[in-house]
Amino acid sequence: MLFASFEYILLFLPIVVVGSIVLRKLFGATHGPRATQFFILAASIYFYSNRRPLNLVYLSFSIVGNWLLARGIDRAQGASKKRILIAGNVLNVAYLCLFKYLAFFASMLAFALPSGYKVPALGFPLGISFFTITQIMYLMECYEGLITPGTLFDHATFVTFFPYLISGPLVRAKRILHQFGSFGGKDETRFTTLARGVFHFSIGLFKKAVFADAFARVAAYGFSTAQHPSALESWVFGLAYMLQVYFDFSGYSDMAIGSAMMLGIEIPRNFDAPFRATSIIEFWQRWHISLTTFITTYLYTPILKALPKRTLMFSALSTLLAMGIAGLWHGPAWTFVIFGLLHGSYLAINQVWRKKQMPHIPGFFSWMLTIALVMIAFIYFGSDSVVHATARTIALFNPHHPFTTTNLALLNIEGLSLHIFGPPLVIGTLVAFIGPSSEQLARDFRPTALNCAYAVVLTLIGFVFVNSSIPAPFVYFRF
Amino acid sequence: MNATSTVTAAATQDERKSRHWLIVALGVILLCVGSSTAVAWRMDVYGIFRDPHGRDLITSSHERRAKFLLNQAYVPANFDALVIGASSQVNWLPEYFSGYRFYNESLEGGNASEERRLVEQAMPHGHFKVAIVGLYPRTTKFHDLQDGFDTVRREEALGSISSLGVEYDILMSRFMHQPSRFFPNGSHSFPQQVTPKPHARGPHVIIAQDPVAVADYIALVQELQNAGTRIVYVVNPMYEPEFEYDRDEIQSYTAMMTKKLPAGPVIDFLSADYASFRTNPHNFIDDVHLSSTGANTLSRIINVRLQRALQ
Repeated sequence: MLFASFEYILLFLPIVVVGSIVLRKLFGATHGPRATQFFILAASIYFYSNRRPLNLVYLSFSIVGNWLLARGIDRAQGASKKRILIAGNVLNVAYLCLFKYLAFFASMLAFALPSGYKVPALGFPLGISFFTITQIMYLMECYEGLITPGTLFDHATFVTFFPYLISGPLVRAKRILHQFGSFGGKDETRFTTLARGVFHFSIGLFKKAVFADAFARVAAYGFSTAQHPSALESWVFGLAYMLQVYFDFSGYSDMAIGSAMMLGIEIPRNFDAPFRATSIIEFWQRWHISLTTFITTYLYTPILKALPKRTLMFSALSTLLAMGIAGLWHGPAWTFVIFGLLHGSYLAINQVWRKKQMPHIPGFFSWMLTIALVMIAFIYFGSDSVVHATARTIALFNPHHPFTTTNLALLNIEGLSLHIFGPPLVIGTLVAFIGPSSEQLARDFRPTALNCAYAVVLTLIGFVFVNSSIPAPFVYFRF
Repeated sequence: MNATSTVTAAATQDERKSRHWLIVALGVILLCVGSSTAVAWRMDVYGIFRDPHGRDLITSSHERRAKFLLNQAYVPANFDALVIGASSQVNWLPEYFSGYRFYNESLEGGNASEERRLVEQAMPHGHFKVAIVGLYPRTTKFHDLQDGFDTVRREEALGSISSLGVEYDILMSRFMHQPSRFFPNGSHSFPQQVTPKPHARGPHVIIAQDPVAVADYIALVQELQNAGTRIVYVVNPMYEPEFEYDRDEIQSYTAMMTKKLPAGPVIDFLSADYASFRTNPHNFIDDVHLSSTGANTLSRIINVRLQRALQ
């Protein structure tokens, strides 16, 4: 079920929100939260498995397995505690590889495999990349003593909670488990959080249905139909793809955060106006924040600790490795690995630049450089092969046709309809580069008439676009 | 104690305001969605909720989606002949083709695969006696379904960019007396009226054909013929200087397609008979798209030739 669908917005979400409030009131303060939690767990299971019930088998296996491991960690003492943690992490990574990377690794080892050998196709459980990371973080938190493993019921509710199950934001158990008593909303703040959730959701819906899909059209045209684009056109198409991914994923995150808020749960923000960053380090502090936290805590730091010295050079190497792994996490393709490695090298250079106190780059140029570098990495992220991505990157500096606009002129008759999509493209660009983040808007939310008008207008326009069959699938669904 | 009660009072007031906010916001959203749906159902701009017989329904700038839905009931109920082809045919005047009620299926930037998908919506519900099939290389150069053409749903008729565009056009023409560019027979006029200028062009590239699109066009004609439709091919005219530039390629394309397609009479506007039409710049707005004058003249010629071809 998609967040940007009527099935979700007009049916599933209202039923779950109203159901959870009613159950909480019906069963009173003692049993209400548990009854609501049970209802939400059932709703999450339906949300996850209604299209492909087999997914639930894979997810259940992961939930039960990790719950047992967490209990093992909790009970074990000394070295065996760490051994169980390592075994758990290896098993989780192996589980992810089994579904996601088996064919990729087999293609690299084709020379060693028997001729005609075919990797069995197991299908791809929706959200496996996200819930596997959630499980790894859960085990780590148990190991570090930050949480104590609860019941299987609690663990299953935590992992399957539908707002973040499929595409994040990645959440830590210690930030969620203690909120389970708030399912259905607390009496004294129920409508306040509900209103804020509706407002946040409306922003996300608009970002996804209107902005992301307008940029998706330009990017799809640029990456598939456009022929021999000039340098100018290549920049336009590259920026369009970058903004598509941003609005798509941040819109999705906003809808996830808004949905959770309506149910009384606060999940951490995932984006904070990333295109206002003036350095790559700052960009990653604002982009997919939950992933950045995971990379820093569970990839970069352990890698650095495993290296012989903690010098600037080894720190740079850790960054490169951590980002390479993060790139591969996005999918079994070299384009994603290069995406990660590019960002790893940007970050490493940025670190060295700062530590060595190299010449300061003025803010505007630093911002432009950051955007350009991020965009180049996104060209790899969005291309179907390294060859295509490299050709598109080279086209950014096409000396033969720097400013021709033949392809751009054809956009209008190739299905873009500028009179419809022109305004979202212009407004979306301004919002992305100079507008406030949704998080900030939701944080500053007050139940005023103006905010009511915003929510109504954003939702209604979002509805029209959703009903126009325009929305492209969420970019992050394939991860 | 006082501070605590002040905070509690503020929280309660916030809660009360938020409840009011929610009621208003959700109420207005539901009201707008409900009324817009009711209006859309009442107007039924694609003729899918009520009997479409005898109605005059237009497309809008989102003509792919509009024509896709119109073909499900409106076209088979009101038309017995089709014009199929590329954007160079969208402003033809089918009302000049006597003896039949023609619906113009041509799409701006359209291709053979899209045309096949369109006509297949109509075929199960209607019988088409005649189909004019355009021959122009652009039609079979691509097979991609643009503008989300592969995901059109009937629910779009209840409030979408496409349906709201049509509703807006209808309201404008009804209350503001602004004539619509879109007509109930599927044709529409072009907004601009410019005279083409010969321009320097690069290498001849237009003839690279897409095998999927070619196969779709052949299959479409065969499906129509199997359903008892008589086919008449029309080789679309081009502005003479542009035609001269690509003459060999265009002619070899026409020969290739007439050989591959099922046999049928051909009206060839690239033949010497129509050189005077092609050399008149007032007949074109660019290399292939006709001005209203050109469309008028061409439609009258087609009518004469069509009657002869169908005798």
